Amino acid sequence: MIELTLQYIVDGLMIGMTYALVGMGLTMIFGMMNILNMAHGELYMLGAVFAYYLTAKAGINYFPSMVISVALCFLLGVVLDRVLMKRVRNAPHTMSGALTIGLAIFITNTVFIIMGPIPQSIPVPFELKATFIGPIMLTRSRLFASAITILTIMFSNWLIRKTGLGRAIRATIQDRVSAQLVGIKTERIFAFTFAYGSALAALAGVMLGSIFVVTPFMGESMILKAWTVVIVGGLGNIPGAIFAGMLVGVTESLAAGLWNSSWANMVAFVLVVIVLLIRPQGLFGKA
Amino acid sequence: MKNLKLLALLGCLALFVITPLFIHNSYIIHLLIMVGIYILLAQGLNLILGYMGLLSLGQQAYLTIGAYISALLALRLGMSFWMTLPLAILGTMLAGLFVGYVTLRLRGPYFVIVTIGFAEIVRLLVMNIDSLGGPPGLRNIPAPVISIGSFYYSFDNNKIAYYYLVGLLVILCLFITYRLTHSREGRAFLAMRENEGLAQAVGINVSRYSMLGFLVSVAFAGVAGATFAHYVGHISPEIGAFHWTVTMLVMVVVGGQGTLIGPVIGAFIFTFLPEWLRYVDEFRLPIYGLILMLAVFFFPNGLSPMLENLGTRLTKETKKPEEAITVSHHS
Repeated sequence: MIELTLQYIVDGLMIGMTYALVGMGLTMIFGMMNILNMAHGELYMLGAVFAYYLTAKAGINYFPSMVISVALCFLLGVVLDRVLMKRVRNAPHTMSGALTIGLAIFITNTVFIIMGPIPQSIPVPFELKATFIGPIMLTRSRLFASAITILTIMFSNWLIRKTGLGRAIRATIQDRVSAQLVGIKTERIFAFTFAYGSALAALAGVMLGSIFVVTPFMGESMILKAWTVVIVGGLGNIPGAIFAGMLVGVTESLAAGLWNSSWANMVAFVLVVIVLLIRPQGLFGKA
Repeated sequence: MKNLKLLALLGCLALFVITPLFIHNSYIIHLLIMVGIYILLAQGLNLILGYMGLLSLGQQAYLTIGAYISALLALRLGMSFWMTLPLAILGTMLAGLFVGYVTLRLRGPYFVIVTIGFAEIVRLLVMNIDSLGGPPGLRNIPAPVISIGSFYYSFDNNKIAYYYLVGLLVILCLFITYRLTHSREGRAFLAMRENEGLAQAVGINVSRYSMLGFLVSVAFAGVAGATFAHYVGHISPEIGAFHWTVTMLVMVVVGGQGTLIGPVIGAFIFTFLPEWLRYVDEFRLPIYGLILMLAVFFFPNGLSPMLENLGTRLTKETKKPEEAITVSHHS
């Protein structure tokens, strides 16, 4: 039982790290542009779908495919910001929410028409052999996904904390007008942040798409978890989102393993309700 | 202008009453019944989205709750529709009370996220609990019956009866919406939508009024769910699917949010349009997505202001000051 529980925790951490990636991007976008982005899950889905087409259909090697699909979603993020999001920054949430939910429905169902209803898998260049650390079983593809995710989180942290660009991002999150006054080109920062958040979601999509399956509706089931991560971590709080991602992943994995997998989807909702009742500012938010 | 509105209202009422006399096509009557059910749903969404500025993306939850409560009470306890309907409304409002209590005290994106999350939970519940029907759902839900003394009248297979029933519910719903939005409460809603902080500052109890509006909104969805369940005779967890709310949203946004007539226009357009475009049904949802995006940018106020302009132009009256005020409220 203890071994099994440990296994669930490790599995949950691995999945949770990808939730953290998706949530990080979303919390940056919300914190900076005040956009109620309901289409974030679709970038996650598109990352996986691009990777599927590049590897399974175009026959490109897995690793370059990964890079290409993340890059494509980054570019798509720039385009979306320039064409759509630019107009709803700081607009009422009803407006940005309606716009992005329209975008999400449009993307999901267009992909559905092209790809069809059958879940697909991304061919991965890893052996199916499992590695054991004590009683805990780890597959190669999960280890790879975890390594990439950890590196990306560390890279993002470095980018935001240590570079000039990161300083500009943090300044713009704090106060847009003052950031503009000290010469930060906020329009570029907005576009970059939206695109970077989209790329993080896409990377998570490639990772989870390689471990599980790729479907046009995987974004719909992710968006709720992503927002859970954002709310539990505190709106706009990046370290909070990373922790909340792990928390959601582990709780979900434990619930699915020890209780019932069809109820595991309730975990995210229960977490949000608890947080809203006790600490609406998020676990790490300032009161 | 006032007279014209009254005339139009009476005309619509007369048209509603006599329509079944000259339309004998039961398919058209069926579509009109669906229009009515969609008006209930869309008006519910409009009340919170249009008048209060809160986006709920989980209205399908209350549709589901209303439908399941009414169907289960009728099937398991043999209760009549006239009993199950009020109980379904009550159950729906209790669910709304929970969601509202968690979210309406707070500002930010919480409301919309919790509404979606709650809808997902409701769908999982009806899907996974076998005593609630499980994936196949509930069948043979009895039709309403009117039986007073020796008088007996069954709605079974009687579309005209449903047509008038749904019509009456729609009239009631529109009346309640009108009263609610043209009263102290309605002014409070608009104040909250325009500037929540200021509304609070002038003494409007924001969370109480939001809760009131939200409860009425979910009650409309509950009525729609209960009526739909008995009308169709069987329900499945599909009724908890997200596309129901997407359809309501398109109806409200395109019809005109924050107006009484907007959701009605939207319900007519988006019930009949998909029927005519049935051969491209797979494109319905992507098109709805596209319509939503375009509407947000190009006609955020929807069609009903255009209709109002047309009405003004027809009467060639200059706007009286009181008219001007109503218009600015709705913009």
